[in-house]
Amino acid sequence: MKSSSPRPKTKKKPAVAITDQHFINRELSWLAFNERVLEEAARPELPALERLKFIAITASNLDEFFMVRVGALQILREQRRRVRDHAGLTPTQQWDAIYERVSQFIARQFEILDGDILPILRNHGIRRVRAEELTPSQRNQLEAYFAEQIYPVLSPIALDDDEPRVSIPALQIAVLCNVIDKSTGTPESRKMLFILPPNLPRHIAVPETEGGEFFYINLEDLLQLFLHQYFPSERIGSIARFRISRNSDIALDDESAFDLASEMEEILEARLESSTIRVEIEAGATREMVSFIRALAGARPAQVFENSGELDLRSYFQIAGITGFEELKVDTWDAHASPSIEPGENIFDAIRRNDILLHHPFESFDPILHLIEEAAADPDVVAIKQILYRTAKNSRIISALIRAAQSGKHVTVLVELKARFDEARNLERAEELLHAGAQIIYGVRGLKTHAKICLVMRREAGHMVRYMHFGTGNYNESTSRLYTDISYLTRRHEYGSDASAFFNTVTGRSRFVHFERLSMAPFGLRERIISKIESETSRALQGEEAEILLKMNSLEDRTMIEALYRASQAGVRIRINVRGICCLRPGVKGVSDNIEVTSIIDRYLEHARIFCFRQGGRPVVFISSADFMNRNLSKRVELLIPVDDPACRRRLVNILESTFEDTSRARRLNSDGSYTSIQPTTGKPRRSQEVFAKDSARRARQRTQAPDLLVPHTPKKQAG
Amino acid sequence: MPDTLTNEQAAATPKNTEERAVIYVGPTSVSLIIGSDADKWTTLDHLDKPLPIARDVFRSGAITRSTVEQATDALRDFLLTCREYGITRDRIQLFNTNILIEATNHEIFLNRLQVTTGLDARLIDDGDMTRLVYQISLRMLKRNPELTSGRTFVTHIGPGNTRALYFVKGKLAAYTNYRLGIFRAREAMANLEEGPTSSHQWSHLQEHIRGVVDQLTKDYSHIKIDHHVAIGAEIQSVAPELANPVKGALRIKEAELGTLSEKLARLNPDELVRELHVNYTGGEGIVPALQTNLALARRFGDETIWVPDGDFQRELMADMVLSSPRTITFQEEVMQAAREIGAKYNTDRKHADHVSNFAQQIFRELQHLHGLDPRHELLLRVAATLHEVGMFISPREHHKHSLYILLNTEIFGLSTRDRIMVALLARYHRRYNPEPNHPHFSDLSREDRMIIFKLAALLRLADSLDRNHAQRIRTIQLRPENGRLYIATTGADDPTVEQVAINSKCDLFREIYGHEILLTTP
Repeated sequence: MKSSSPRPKTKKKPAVAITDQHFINRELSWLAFNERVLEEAARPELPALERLKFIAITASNLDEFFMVRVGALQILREQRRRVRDHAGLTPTQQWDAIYERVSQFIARQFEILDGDILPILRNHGIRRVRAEELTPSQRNQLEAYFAEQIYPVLSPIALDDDEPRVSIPALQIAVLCNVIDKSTGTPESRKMLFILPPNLPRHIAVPETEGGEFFYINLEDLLQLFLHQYFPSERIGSIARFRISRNSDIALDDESAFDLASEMEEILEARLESSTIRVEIEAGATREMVSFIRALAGARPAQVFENSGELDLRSYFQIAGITGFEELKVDTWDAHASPSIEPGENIFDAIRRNDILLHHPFESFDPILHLIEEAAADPDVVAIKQILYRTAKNSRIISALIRAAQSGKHVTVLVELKARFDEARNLERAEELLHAGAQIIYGVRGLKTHAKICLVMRREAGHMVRYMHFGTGNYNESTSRLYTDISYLTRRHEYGSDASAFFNTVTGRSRFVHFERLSMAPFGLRERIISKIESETSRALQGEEAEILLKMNSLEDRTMIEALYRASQAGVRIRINVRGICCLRPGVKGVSDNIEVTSIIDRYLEHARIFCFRQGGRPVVFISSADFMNRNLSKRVELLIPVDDPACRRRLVNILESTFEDTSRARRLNSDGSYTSIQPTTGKPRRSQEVFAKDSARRARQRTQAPDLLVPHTPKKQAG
Repeated sequence: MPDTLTNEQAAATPKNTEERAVIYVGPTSVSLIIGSDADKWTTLDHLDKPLPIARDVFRSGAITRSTVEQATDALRDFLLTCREYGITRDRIQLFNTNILIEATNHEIFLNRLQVTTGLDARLIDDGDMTRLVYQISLRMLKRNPELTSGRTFVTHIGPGNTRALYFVKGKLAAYTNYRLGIFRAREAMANLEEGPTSSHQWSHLQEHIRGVVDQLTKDYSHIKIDHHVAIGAEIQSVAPELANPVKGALRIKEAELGTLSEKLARLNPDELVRELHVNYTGGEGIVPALQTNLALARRFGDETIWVPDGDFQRELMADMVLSSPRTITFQEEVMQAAREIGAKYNTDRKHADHVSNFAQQIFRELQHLHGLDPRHELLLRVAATLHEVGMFISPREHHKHSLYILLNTEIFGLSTRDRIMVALLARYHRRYNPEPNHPHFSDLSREDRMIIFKLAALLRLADSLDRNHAQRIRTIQLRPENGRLYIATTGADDPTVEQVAINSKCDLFREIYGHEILLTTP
């Protein structure tokens, strides 16, 4: 930490009592986060496809938010539980506030999309075509496509009055139509429902376009165009499109900013029937259709959102990732090799030389893959122990672990099945691992295992040496290219014995025993951080300079926030970078005047958790898998890792400082809960992710260019 | 690089040369410690699973079926961990707490462990425990000059036993061992079958503790105490809640210990675990242990209590792995304790010391012949010091009197097994050779019986060298050569008396070592 930071005022007056008004409601704070993401879509200097990606992200986020968070509120309401949140709001009050805020949000989404991004795309040849714009030839070709691809898999459901209510799958687009039978004397109308299956593409390329152009028609438009094929002797009346969200069927993804409050989790899991949380209806539906849909979904009026544009903006992810159209995309920032590892060097040798700190995705995730892959093939490696939470498709890590088990090494893998998005994938590979002879543990009862750790035990000159990887992100090659995370590789003895103790605990071989350096939730991680905060507090009270720098994804835990408030009251200078939810209200006189909260939304998802405490000028820096959320600190197995190596520690402090110096993608949280962009005081805005990207490129270049010596690539020495 | 990997590179587990493992079935848990003793002991791994041995033993007098199953499950897991380190069975030791002795089915239990693990399930005994307590005390004394210069009273509250050691100017001045422990107290209380904190149980516990405290204060009423050190798994695990370690010791206030103990007494076992999760071992015993320590502190009027830093059980285990290279100081303390016992029985001190010195010299110089370790040297020296205690009763058959006196006398630092060996050596220091039907001797393992033969032969030789208790022969020099052991003596012009004694008593030596003994003069 730089010592030039101004010394904050120390309060001499008795501390202001901390009350509910000093907390920000977490749902509204989350909505503010999604609004910040949406503002990235509005950035004119960004290429259009990058902006489109942000639109899709906000849509996907909002879906989850409704199903998980709003769903939980709904349950509380249904049960008439007047549980107030940190800010003192009842479920109904929160619901009302959310409804209003979301309505504004959606309007803004379409304003940016329709008013801004789509016109740019159209100018560059990416264009949604309406049915009426098709040429007869295009229409004929699409009709053939419809007959072949869609008609066989999409059947109408008749909604008769005497039929039991149909169940409409969540998050899929449904098309409802009135079908009128003219053959009888008095025209009889009946309602038919189509549910678009998620495995059909949402955007169907329109044939006969110019090269370098992408014209597409939406699936629902195509269906509507050929709807009469289902009802050859009848007339189609009014049509409505809608989409519903429910409060279960939801895959809880810990990496997104959502989660259920822990008490909610149990209620939800115990619940079999899920009720409707939200109905989105595309503009243009008649009043009659709207009320029919509402009744069909069993929704209250306050759950219905009428969108001005198309449904399910998540499908713009596909268009954002379209091939070609480079002028509409951002220049890539490459992941560079870390200078701490010589090219072609055995990873064990590199770690033996020095602890290694990696900053992903600016620095490549490969060393972690190499650690496990080399361990699998190394005759001196005796055992590999690993936590897997979310892994990539065809995960190289799992493949390496399978090879290791096959070659007779002791492989222990804890596969956390509660990361439900990946359940099926995890399971399948778990079987493979099991067949190879690995020991598999499916999570720990009552707790999700969220810690990111890999332990390799290797015999060197008769001694057992343990190599560890500790991370803030998952062992997932794909997300490691998109999330900013920290990896710490070390072979320090005390870390090794803690790593072993950690695995002994999660595999049930031992009760939790004392750790030397690390801390583990739920066995003392929270207490360790609290004691560090309190130690800064007492330093400040004694007139010493005291400072805390924190970076995390969510800050929600009340105990932690209160500890930070007390620290601020004592005069500790606190800077926090929180990507998502922040229930702490900064800048409140007498409570949090010394706390500054910023948030960064940029190309990569900010994901690293780094905590730094000044400790009288000898800072202690931790990386962690845990956010300051009650669920992480009390209901998850998490790790807190102090980074002892001086160079690695310095680098982490620099990363934190750079984060706080961001004047491009950072926004400051105001005491009213709103966020404002941070403007550069002088010169060009400073964009921290860009700084990191350039930095890693420079570090990598320095290594390859510096010496006037050519380093030949020699065949790799076989270990052993 | 990953593409070049093939399954043919399958590796056999590399040969382990350094790591060892100790499994300890303790009073409240079963633990595994893996470490390497390359130069000094480094713990690599420490596993621990709760196991209610003490509860079973003191509540029902037997190990219950479910405890047996829990123990075998944990041991299977532990062996898996050992395999991951490539530690073979010959490098794993399996020890069991001595309170098991009090379980009627302890033989069956130990057998079951042995069958499950393929390891030799050994009981640790009181002597091992005493030695550890002594070593912890000494370490504290060394690092804290005020403890060394003053009069320091050390108490160890164990699960089944309580020990007291009294140091004056850094030297052990008194030692007592009581069959009163926290689990006896705790289970006497639990037998009342009520909730954990009923007032009835509370007063029962207090009464039990008063028993221990009364006994201790009676025995130590005559001495002055400057410092009180409390050692034990429980007190050591909670002390960090009250103080920070300085120079290997935590100084806790009696009043604060009282507050904490009362707070913990109000918690149920789960809350206890949560409250003390960092250093927690065997929650059940914590409150009785703290109460006992507290009662002692109050009785002796201590404002502060010294508690050693560290995990008691872990140290106990590390001590066991190191197969106890007993320190010189410790051996000397044991010898001192032996001499005191000798004095109590009016033995000829000069003779005893002389024989003991000869025995030690012979033991060391004939190392290549007997191949025994330093532990046996100590047993031989103690036996040499005490071989004649039976004379106190009658010179006639005094070897037999020595036997039963030593069987029934606690000697500081010696385990029961050690003491039986010492007693048998005294029994066989004269002409009579061990026979398979002799009581006590016949109970020994084959290995121990062999040791008795080897040591008894040495003791007889050393004793013969001071045949007439006059220390005529002052020094000896040993020279084994061609089936003969030449002993060059100084001091006596004519060692015929001694030679005659050797001829009549040392047939055993000849049989065991295959050497005639010939005394020579310069």
